[in-house]
Amino acid sequence: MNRGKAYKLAALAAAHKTRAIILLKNGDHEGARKEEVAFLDRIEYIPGRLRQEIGPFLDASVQIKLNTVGMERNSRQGLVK
Amino acid sequence: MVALLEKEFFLSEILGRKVYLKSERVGKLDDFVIVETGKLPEVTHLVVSRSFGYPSLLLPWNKISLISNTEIVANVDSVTPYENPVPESAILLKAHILDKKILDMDDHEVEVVYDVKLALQNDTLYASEVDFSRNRLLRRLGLKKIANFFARYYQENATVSWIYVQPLPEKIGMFKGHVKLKVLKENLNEIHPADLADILEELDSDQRLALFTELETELASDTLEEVEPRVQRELISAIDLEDAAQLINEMSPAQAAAILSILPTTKAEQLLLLIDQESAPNVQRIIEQHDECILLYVTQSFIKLPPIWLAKDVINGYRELARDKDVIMYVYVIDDHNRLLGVVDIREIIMASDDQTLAEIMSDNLINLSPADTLYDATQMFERYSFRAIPVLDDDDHILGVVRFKDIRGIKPRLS
Repeated sequence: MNRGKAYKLAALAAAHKTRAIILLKNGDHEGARKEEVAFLDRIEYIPGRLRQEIGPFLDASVQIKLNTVGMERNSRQGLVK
Repeated sequence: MVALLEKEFFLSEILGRKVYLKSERVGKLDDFVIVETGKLPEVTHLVVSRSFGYPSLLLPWNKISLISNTEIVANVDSVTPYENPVPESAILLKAHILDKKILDMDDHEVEVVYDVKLALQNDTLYASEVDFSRNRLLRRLGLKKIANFFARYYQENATVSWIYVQPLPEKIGMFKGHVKLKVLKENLNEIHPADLADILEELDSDQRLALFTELETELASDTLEEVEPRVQRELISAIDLEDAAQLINEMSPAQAAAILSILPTTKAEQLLLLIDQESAPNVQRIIEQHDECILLYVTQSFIKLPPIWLAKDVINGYRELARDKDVIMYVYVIDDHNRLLGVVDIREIIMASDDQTLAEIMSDNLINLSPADTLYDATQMFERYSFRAIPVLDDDDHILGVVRFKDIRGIKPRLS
């Protein structure tokens, strides 16, 4: 997998993660769970050698998306270990 | 005060009419001199040809007292004050307009002026319309019955008001006003270079040079890239070396090399000394060594952004991001080490949601050239993918530059 593909998957994963956080905050646990599953599906495809590299990007993507809806991230949620 | 039997008539109908000074016949009407004043040009003088080697007369319009179906009468006593040559700068209806080409900017076709309509108003004779219809041509050839037949059955709307017919440069006398453009001269610089190139190729040498020298530098340079080599050679040879160098400086090394390579060696060498000395070595290498390594054709002037940028931020800052860049239709998404991650077409950014990052939108399936590729490889790739630009990446995906299709279009690779 090339680096760009890894970033793209990470970006898509970040979108799922952001939606999961927002849904959870709004009390929609079922919806949040589905988004978390989708998040993990994306992350799974990223080769291990690239996961560490794109970790900061993933975090930053989630934060920037939350900022656009006026939310802060409460807990540090990096990649699944 | 002039008496005219008809308020409107055609130039072809009146040329050759006998001219009298009061009651003495002096010659025949040969032409009209017009001046451009406001919307429609006015007739200022009549040119009267005389036989037996006598010099022509230049009769002022205000001396004409009668124009009938058979004669023109001037209210003057003696010919001597009017034995003047036609000034160099004068525009003549028959010599400069009749049977000359008129460029139709809408269709980019070249029409021929078959006739000019003249109209009298407030004692002033104006050239009101140019006519490029077949009917007028048939009438001029004496085929009135056929012309009437066509007029009855085939509605041909082929006249255009002089308002839309403008001379080219101000120094119209220089090339005798052979061409009129059906567009205001001020709009010339709004025409696309490819269309201007088509027009230049239709004109003869004098007309071509006159039009070309009216263009702004950047437009002239772009137009020069589009015309065929024969015309490029002619134009570059006809203008000053300094002006030619200025035009070539506006081009990429690839295009500059393509133009210099078709010039005579001495001319090319002179120009190489005058063009921007930063790009001159690249240009020289392309010409002399047939070096077609693709890195000679890349530009470093493109938009590159990290993947975290949001679509809305790219849109909001696009004007600043794109300013002075050669490649503006794509955004190249790079990481901290200048490695290419993906490419986004600006259209995709516009269509994306505000909160989508470039990483979400980009295409990560990279189509790229490598440093060892040649012009031929690039040509093949552009043909296959129809991209407007292709990045050049090394083995580690570091972006070394971007090749624009515009810069290599029309250049024939010598190596394949």
